[in-house]
Amino acid sequence: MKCAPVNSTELPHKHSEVPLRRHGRHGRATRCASTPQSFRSTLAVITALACIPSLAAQDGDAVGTGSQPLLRQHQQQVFRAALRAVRPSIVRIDTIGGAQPVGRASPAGGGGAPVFRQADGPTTGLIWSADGYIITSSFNFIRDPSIITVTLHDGRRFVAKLIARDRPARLALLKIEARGLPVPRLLAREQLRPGQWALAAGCGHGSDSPAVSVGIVSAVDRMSGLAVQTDAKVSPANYGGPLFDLEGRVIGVCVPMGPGEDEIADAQWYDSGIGFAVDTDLVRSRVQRLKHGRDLQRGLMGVSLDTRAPVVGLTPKDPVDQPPTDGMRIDAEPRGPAADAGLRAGDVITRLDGIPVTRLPDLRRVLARKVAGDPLAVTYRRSQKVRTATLTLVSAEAFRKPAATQPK
Amino acid sequence: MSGKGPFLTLAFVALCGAALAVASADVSPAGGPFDAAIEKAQQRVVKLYGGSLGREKGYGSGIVVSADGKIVTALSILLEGRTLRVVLPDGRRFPARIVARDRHRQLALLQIDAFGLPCFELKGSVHLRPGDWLIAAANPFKVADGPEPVSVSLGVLSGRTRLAARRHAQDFPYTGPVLLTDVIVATAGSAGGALVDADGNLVGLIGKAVTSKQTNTWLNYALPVEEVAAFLRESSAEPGREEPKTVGAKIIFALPVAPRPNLGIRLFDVGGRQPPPYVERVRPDSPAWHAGLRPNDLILSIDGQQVVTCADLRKAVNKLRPGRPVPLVIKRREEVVTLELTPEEPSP
Repeated sequence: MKCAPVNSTELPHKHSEVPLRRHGRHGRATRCASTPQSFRSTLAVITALACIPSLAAQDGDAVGTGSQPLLRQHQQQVFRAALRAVRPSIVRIDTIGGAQPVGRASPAGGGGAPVFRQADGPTTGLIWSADGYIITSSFNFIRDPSIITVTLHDGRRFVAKLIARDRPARLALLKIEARGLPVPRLLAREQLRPGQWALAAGCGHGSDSPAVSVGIVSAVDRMSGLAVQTDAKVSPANYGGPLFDLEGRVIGVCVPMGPGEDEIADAQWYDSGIGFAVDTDLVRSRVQRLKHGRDLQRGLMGVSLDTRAPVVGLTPKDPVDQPPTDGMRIDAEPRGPAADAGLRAGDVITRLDGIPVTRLPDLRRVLARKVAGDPLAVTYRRSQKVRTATLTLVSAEAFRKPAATQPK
Repeated sequence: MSGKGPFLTLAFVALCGAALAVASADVSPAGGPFDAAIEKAQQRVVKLYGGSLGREKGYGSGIVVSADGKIVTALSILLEGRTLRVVLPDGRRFPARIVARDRHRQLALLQIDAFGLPCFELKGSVHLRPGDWLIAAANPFKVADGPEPVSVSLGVLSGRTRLAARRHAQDFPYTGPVLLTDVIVATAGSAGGALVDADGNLVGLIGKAVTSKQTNTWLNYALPVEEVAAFLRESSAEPGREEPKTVGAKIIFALPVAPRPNLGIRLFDVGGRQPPPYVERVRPDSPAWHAGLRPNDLILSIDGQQVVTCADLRKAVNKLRPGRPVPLVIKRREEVVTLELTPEEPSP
């Protein structure tokens, strides 16, 4: 059987429309002896066309032993084609100067956490709009570089402006003075399913073409709904780069997210089989706000809540100090926005923006998609009476004592 | 990372096994899809046991490259112990001796007194494209601690690059081409193992665990089979060649004596740790002047080599050949400009 790499346009539609599932990784094959050659070469196209009838003929018998070599070969071609499709939208980011990195000890004192201070390679971004907006990860600018350049797929290089960072989602928005840039196709969040193929690509290793890793979507709704989880390798080599499907459609932007409060701590999850990407719906809404040039911060209400889980199986005679089952009780006098809105200790918050919140994860989900400055409708119960209030979330900065906010 | 490594490997093997079992039930009585490749690889990868020292583990992997018992592995402290034992995939054990070392590629050639062994052919890796299947066959964390074959893991070729890495905070000597993969092979005991394509052909030898200077993360990479072949050629050209033992001693490389090409610029080298290469002054009628370089330009790359600091630039300039024009990419105000620069012989 002779076969050559084919262009994505030559692939039978069946394979590009129906994502191959993980089981497909185990297609059995003897590999075709393909020689290195340009995919654009006429030879490849002709050979590929010659291949298709035999591929199609095998499709009906896709489970037979004889089709396994084709299946496996085909997967490789699909991976190559997916990378080719998204490749023009992947940009390389170089940063120059800025604060020299300082080692950060592990916040938990564990001693084993890697300290990301000596990386000096390029990083990755993704073209977001034809007029020069580039979405990437805030991880890539930890050093606050004084100069940022962006190199396009075609080799053109531009000086970029860091417009703003999104701290909670670990995103950053760059702008270059260019027009007509190749914008990638996007996959909406609702089109994502666990188990579908996902590839990640990034420029962090410094070679001319981005490095790719292959995996699946592990979950669509992680980190309080901020991120898609994948087992494709996500690391400093591709933070800011795309996670994409077999057609080269962008699933999300790769970011460090993990147990930490910042990008450095979160990066320690690389190589663990657990990686994250911010889905394109959230990226779209955040880009709108980042364009205003102000960094986005986590939005806080200013309440401290009773986070105990209700105990089941109590009798009416048991002590009644039981957390409410229909909401979350405020257990200390509120500060900031919550105090301003009239909330008091003992009030039970039952809904945020109309969404029932009975446990901490519910509350986190609502707040995760919001940032400081956003309004939040709070429904709460005080002595059997349901009330509502609207408050404006603030950043952690607002709670610091004046001494701590003095200019450095 | 090393903490969760064994778990991941085991988990993956289990996952793989489950998937293969399903496949064999539904699909093909002959077994799983990568069976042939896995079997081929496992028959040609050996386990090594030797000396240990501190963080350096006393076990590793190796590949059989000749039927009469030649084995290539990564240079490591485990080779420096009093004994060095090779365990073949069939469980047989042999003492091994070191035939040649390559300090640059960080490879070693071993010999055992065995014959008729299945061995890898050293063909090539250029047929691989990013996204192509790869299988790693090695003995991470000596999970295969009995007579059984080594562990296999599935992934793809991520890409290729030149290695710029550190090991234990020191620069890693090998700076040549490497294959990058998304198989996790930066694990204790994996070095010296095989990276094979979907047909079981050797495409690379898993290198020692290093951290990338570019990302500061552990790097999952392999030396391309071409480098392994070059090592074998060089060591057979001088049979018995073994570089002097320099364990514990620092290797000093001779500095190139070629004169440094002259560009005619002075940089804002104000000290500090890593100043970016801003141009302070351009000498009239110098190569830089003819190229159109001006004060306050920031040099981004020269001859295709990215430069981030003044030190990078000096290093890159030292590699230039006088008289040969090279592209010089600079940042001038908010623009990136490419100039052409022809370095001249240094003035005496």
